[in-house]
Amino acid sequence: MTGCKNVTFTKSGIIVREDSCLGFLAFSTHTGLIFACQAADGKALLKWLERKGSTPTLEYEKALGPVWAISLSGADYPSKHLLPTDQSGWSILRSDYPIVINWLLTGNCALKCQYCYAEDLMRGRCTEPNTQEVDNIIETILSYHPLAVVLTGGDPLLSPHLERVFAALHKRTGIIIDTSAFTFSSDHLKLFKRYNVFVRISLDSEIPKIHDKLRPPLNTVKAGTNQSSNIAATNALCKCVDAGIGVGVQTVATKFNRSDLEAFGDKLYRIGIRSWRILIVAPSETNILSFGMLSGTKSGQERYEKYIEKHLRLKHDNGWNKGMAVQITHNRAPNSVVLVAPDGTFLTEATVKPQKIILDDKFPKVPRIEHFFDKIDPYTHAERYLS
Amino acid sequence: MATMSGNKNLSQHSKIERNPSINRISLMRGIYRALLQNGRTYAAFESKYVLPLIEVLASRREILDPMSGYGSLISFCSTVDEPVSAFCIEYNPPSYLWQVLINPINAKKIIALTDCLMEMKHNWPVTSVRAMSSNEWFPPESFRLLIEVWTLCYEIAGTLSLKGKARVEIPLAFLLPFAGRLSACVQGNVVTHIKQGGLCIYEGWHHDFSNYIDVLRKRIVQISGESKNIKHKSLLANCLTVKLPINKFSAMITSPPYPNSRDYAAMFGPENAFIDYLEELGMVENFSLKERLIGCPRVSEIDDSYKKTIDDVKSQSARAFLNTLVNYKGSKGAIYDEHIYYLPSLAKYFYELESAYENISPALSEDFEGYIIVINNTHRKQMIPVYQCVIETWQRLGFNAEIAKEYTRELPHVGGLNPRVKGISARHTEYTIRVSRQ
Repeated sequence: MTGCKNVTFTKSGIIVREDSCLGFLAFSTHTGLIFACQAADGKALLKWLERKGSTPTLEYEKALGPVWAISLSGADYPSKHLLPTDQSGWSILRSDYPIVINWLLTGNCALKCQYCYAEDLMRGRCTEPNTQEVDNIIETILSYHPLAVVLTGGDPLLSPHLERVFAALHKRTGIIIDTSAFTFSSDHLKLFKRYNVFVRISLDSEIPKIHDKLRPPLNTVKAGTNQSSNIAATNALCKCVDAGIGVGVQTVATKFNRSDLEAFGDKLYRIGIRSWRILIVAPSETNILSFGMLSGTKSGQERYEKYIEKHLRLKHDNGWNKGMAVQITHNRAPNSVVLVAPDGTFLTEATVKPQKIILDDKFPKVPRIEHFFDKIDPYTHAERYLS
Repeated sequence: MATMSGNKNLSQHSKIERNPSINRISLMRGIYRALLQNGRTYAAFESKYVLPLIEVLASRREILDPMSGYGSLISFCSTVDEPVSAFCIEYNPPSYLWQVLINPINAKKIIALTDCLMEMKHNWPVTSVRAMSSNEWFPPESFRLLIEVWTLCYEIAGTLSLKGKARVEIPLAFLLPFAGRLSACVQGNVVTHIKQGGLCIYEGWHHDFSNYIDVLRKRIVQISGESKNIKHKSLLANCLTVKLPINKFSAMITSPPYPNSRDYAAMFGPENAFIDYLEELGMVENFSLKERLIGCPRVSEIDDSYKKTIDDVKSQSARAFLNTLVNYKGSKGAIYDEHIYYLPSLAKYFYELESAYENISPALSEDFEGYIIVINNTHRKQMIPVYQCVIETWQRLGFNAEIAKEYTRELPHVGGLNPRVKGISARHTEYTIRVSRQ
């Protein structure tokens, strides 16, 4: 053991946690990517990340070094986030503690996305936390030593506790914010920079009318106004890149955008996006009716999933990996995520039907660590974040 | 050889060394990337099938192509040993302007333009915007940049003493292939597919423009060096209405557009939108497309007076085929599609094809000989009888028309991206029809 069982924030901006099965888990605040690194390389790795030594191997440098050790164009991300990529050293892919915890900081959102998986916890369906409750949730989350916390919602930009949360999590875990950027402002930009936040902006299509149809502003739905969520997201993306903030894009693949993804990736690469996460549209408790319309026929969806997988991998390996990582997330194991509701309840998605279930029924807001992985599949949890 | 709508192109000029910067990530339009680097694009013929036809007709000195697309006849005629020139008519402005670009007679002017533009790099417009999305072909910032570049090119053309038509045509032909780089469009995985709207990335556009100029210059230098015949003519005109001198042409090699639901003008959506914008500003004149091209499937825009039915079509084979569509038995949706879309668009296609040949025929001399290359596509598991219609039309116009078996061949399915296409739908036969005066 090298003394980083708890999460350690290194001088390179890489956050590290030691793990008995996965060696060292490393989260880059620059690219938003997580890698598992062989335990044998641990000492050299930590020295390098503290800027006191050289890289264990070139592979580490190309995967974890972009932005702070090498330029972004020198990146070369392996499709599986295991370092070194020689897979003989990897047998069990599960972690001692959750790798990522998704905290639905607020149920408020300016958009009404057609496939929203959190609608059942939004817009008054779940109590919004007060300051004391936010502090309690932070300490509870940190007690599980997550490598990174994803602040989501709702739109976390609408939470009055945003800065408080950033300040409390800063240097104790990695911070990723998932946002539509519809209410993004220059004040947010300052916060992201100050607290080393990796920003993930939702952008489903480069064509405004397609994106806006999938992610319509709530006031458009209610009052018929004509604001474009696409234009807001694009502007925020550009401002983050210009400010040197690590920024990624999150895209939900539906039948409306999947044939355009290849061309979309080229553009994201050229903008300077550091990671692109594609989520295949999944059913949720509140979108069951529209799910079929969004996913298309089962055979069509399967065909396109294969197509997306094959072609985007190809594009990634032949060009985008020099600067932009691509992760494709299927919904084959919905119980791979850890969710924290705005009221502090720890949840995951059920596998039987699309609904959320409480992790530990006896202690819903402080689940016991020995029961943490009772309902969460630890293997798919690790796979989800290690591609 | 090329269709009116520009779907057949093959340069006999050797390939230029590939510039790895001109790839998809350069965001250059796929259609121009292919033209620049390979000298050919969508559904191109192989030179080995077309050059023998030029050899047969070379002694006639001038070969007409009334539906000339990217003007590959110019490229072919440029490189053959016999003194022969191409006379190309094309109605799709971007295709016509590509012909201007590859015409060896313009090579020196274009090389001079590119050299001046590189020297004036410090005058290229700049932008602080990284990217912008739009539902239109161009965000406002793109128009601003393009107009500034256009003005620069136009001024350089003035300093190069380009006068009259060339003053506008040369800079426009030069700039158009790059205009799409600053458009907001989504390029499909097939070169013909493009969607309006999307993200336009300004980051690094100077670099991409430099790369474009570099690749174009190499291509033009090569054309200039390899061309033995340089006097070719291109005409921006509609073969349905163009007035040609009586008995002027004794030779023709051409190919009609395919009835395959491709809107060849829409393939050049950003380029045509840019030309329209320049016309709106009064910077160019008479370049924008006024009417739809032959084979254009946009039936929704056709008003009743322009709508064509089976009764307007003269060829028996085409009429018989269209009648099978009237009586088509399929699902309710398929029948609806037949009546609302396929039937009127195919009737219009056959009508306009016949009309175009009728309009051209008086320009063909008494000793005329020509070759028309046709590929029969399929619709609802039936061959669309294009070659039969072509033969019937020319016979009706008083010509001999027959399949030239020595130049006809069976092709595998050309739309190989769809692996589910099987049987007759995957079968394409390329017919070469010999037409001569009786």
